[in-house]
Amino acid sequence: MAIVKLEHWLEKRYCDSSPLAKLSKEFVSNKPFPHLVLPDFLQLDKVADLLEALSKEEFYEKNSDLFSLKQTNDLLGSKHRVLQEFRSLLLSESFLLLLEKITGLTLKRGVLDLQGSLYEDTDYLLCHDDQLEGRALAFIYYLSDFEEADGGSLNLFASHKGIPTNVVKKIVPRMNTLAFFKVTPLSFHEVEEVVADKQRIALGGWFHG
Amino acid sequence: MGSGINPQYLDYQTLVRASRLFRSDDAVPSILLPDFIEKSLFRDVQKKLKTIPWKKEVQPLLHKYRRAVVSQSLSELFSSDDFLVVLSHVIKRSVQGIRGIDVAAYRFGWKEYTLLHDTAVEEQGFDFLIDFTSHWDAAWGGAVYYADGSGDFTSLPVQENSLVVIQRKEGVQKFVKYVNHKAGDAHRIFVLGTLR
Repeated sequence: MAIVKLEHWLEKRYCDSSPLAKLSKEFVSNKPFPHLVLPDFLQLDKVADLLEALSKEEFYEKNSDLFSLKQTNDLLGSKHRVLQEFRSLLLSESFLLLLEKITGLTLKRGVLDLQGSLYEDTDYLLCHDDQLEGRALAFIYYLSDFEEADGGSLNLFASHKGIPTNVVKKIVPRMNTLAFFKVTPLSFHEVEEVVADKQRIALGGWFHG
Repeated sequence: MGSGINPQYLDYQTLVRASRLFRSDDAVPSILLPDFIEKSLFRDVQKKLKTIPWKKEVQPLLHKYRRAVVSQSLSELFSSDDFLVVLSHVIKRSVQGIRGIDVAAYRFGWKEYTLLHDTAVEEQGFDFLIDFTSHWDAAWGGAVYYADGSGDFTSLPVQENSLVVIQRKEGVQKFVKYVNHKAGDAHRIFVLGTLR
């Protein structure tokens, strides 16, 4: 496979080192826990390619007390070239260094959980903290445009003495936006129920540390 | 004055048949007894449940619902000898073996649910549930599920005025599925009790 270069994928402003200090400050200080939202993240031709490739992946219904949604298997096994390239981008040394500069975290090389997710009308994911051994940074790359009234937002909870209280931040899915947050015992979040006849499509998972 | 239980369930032969349907070897033994409460009492309680004070209980990691103390007439039904006899026949345990009953009314509307969680594990035992919900669509969520820890779930049907008795064996836990926006202003209301 060809070497994946940041400048072939990311919008130019994310390839420059000058805004990194500002982004890092924003990440660390964002409430209720460290997170960041980067709009217009990839070059538009890559967005279209990713959406097309993801639409050809098999999605499986997942249902439990905590969630109702559709998900692909880990995309490590994907046969689609552009999804494999996206995975390589995320695992590339230059991308990991970028994330480390923003987050202050040390991320494991060669380890990535990456899946496609699809939420449709009445789908949801209730409050939880994402804590599982090794997970350091959760990320979601949105491939849908939603309005707040459609539901589907990534809601972040404040907490008191280690217990989530109420939603204090809503991240509404916007096409070509990357959101990520530090996984901690206090990183309580949910995906609000989709209440419109729309599809909330995303690529997401975890970097390990 | 009677207990308010449908007289057919006070018939010995009916109880013997019911006890055979409660298969103790199943992973989640259960039985549903339809039209359990006498109609007039049921409608009276159902009407009162719409106006009693419901207390909102929210712990996002565990649950979000409203709970209330059951009415006096229901409380008397559950503490009646008739009810204990029905239960003892179904679960094949002597009346003397039932030390008591803890019971409350629950109401679930849009965005309400309970979750399985390591910090809220129930000991094994017996639950019973009486449904006071009219006109509920299963597609709205709100069903009570029993999870045996292997990934398998047993769901209880939503059926007005049915008594469901369930045995929670070791490792079996229950949850109420999230109620989605299709429910609108409708509410799932049931009384849930646990045998001591």
